[in-house]
Amino acid sequence: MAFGKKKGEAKDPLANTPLSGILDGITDLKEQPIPEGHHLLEVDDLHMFFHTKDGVVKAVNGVSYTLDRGETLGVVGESGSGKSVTAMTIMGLIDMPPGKIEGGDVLYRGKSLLKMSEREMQTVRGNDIAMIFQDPMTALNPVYRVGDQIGEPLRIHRGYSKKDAVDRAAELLSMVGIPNAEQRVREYPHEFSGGMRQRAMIAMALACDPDILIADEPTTALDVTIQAQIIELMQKMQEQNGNAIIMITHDLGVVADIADKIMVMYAGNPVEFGTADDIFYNPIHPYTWGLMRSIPEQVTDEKKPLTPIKGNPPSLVTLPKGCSFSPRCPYATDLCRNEVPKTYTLPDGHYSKCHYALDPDFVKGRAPENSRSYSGGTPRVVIDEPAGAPVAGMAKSEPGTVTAVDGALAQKAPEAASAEEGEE
Amino acid sequence: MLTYIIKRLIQFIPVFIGVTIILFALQNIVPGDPISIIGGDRALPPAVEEQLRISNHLIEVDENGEPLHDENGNYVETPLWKRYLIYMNNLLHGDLGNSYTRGMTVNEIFAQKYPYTIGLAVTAICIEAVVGIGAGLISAIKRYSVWDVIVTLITSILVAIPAFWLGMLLQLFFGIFLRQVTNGAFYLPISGAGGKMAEFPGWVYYILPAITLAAVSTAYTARIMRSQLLEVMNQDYIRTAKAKGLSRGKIIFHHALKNALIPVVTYIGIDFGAMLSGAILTETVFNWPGVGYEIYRAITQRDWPIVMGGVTLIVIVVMVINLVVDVSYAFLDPRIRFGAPKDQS
Repeated sequence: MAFGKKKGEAKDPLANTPLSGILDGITDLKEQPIPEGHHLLEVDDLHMFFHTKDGVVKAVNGVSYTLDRGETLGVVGESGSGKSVTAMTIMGLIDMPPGKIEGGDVLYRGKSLLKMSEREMQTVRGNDIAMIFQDPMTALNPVYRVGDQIGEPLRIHRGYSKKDAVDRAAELLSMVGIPNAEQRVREYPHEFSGGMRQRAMIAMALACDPDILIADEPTTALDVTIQAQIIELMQKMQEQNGNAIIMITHDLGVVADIADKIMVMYAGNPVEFGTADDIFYNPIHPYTWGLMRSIPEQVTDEKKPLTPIKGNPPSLVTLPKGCSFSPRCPYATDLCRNEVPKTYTLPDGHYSKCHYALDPDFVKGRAPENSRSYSGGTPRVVIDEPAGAPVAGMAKSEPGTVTAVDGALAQKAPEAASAEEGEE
Repeated sequence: MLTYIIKRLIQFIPVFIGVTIILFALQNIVPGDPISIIGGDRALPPAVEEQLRISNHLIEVDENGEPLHDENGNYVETPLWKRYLIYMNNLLHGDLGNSYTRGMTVNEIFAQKYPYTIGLAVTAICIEAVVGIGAGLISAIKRYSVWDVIVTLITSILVAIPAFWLGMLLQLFFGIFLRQVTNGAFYLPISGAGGKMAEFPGWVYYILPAITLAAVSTAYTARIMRSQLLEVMNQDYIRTAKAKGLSRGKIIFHHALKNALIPVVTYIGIDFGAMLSGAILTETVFNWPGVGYEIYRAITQRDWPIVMGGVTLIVIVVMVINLVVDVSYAFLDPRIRFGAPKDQS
């Protein structure tokens, strides 16, 4: 396990006392080995419903995935698809009631987070699993100094004194690329720009060297150039610390570059899950196709209209009978409208909740043209990425940076590029 | 900050002039001749009346102090603007004029009355801050619990009860009913503010008037505190604090309270300004020798110098308190302390 931040521990006031080992053993789950047969984080068929006056909102309806150290999971979907609720459930940040876990479990290093008491969860939050949020403008407390807020996790989880915490906060701030960190820690959030605040949030989240960093749309509220910097920063920190990242976003471009695995969510359901490569070059769910078609292609000279996904996401209170995407799916059949699709898993773990996921003839010709699944076939695609490209996170949303190389997957020949029935 | 305070002090001038002009005009619109009221049922001797009119700058005099007469033999009334200028001139010299009815200067009257009003206001504001904030906190933290219901119920009732009626109820219960039930062993004074000859120590006299004065504001404070805390608890930075692993107590008292207190402090501050300007109803009900009661008495007797002097004093006090409240924001909210936020995102 790559705990990169040894210099942080040197500052730990308990580091050389007999207490340190004992305390670590008790409080720091992240110091414990992952039990045999378990992953760092396992989300298993999680159901999180909200019981409201209008009915039961099925915000998370059967989400499963696993995550290991150093990995990045991208969670993609429209607003209200349950991305954030899934993450907040892991963190135990959902108010219950109205929220209620209706099934499933979340295992962190083999221990159920959902069964932990509030007090135990407090030692996990910010220490083992940390989270950064969408809007850095409102996520920092306006009446306290930035340094105090960044140092706070150190004070509660590691017993730092106020002064030590602020000193460490300054180190963290300069680590996330804020100049004059010594002065900056004494400033208030309103004296920071949006990008700087998000950097401060990252510094705060990484203060205790967490195992997992959950980023809930960390770049949505930022302008594009800053977005790329923030993504790059998170990647850099991940390389240093070896933590896992769960990156929640509605922007496929954001996850394209940094995610190892991607989960596409729709109406509280993961509709497709696979490696980044699977999702981008071999998507098999019509909703994923729709998302891909809505990405602007900047490289082509000819002007093409974007293809939106028609309609709106269904109400999570009254989900449609059958596949929840069927009312908006251009390929929906009676089967789709009447029966909830099972999870169809390919041998490599890539899965899709579509009745026709395993039917190559269905996928062929309907998937976006630049994907392998479009031609039912073969071209093996690699990402042509110069190391450390500054705007890499954004650039990857453009198919232009993608180079098609010779195929290796033996499937049908790409001759049957049939008419695009999907386009209306 | 200093420039801000100076700027605000300069703003006092037009506000002050505006308020006094309006007031000065109003007292001349109200019917009734104060000088003839002084005499009551009996008519004053013409010489005395003439002297009173001259000393109160109501009629023009020549250089020898003799009243001027117009062609019909009537007194020449001093025009309003001239009287205003005389008033302002005296005011700037610290002279609020003479009472028509009390035979004292207005300065003397207020020097006598104001300490009682200040004492009552401070007592009431302490009750308001401690009880109001406390009840609001309990009600928000234990939302939807029995405590919340009790606080909400009591505050709803209190905001609906007029102060004078509440005062009378308290007088009836603590002053009369309890006295009868306990055969005079236990009761609270219901009138006046004590003194050397009084039967209770001075502070006992503050209990009922202070409760009466504080009741409505305490209820409002509790409600504002509750709603503010609940609103702040929904803010993103509270979620951030929770995600850091802070306990609920720390989140509420460290992260939420300071933010939630800002509007509460405004309300209490403005209310304190209002209380310092004399609680006319409460002071009247309890025969409290404060400025509120004095102004009320002066209005009924057309004793305009007292009314003018009182309001002038109130205007100054309210403006100063408001300034203090605004400055106190800066200690709670750094965004104000360092000027307007510049969001550059």
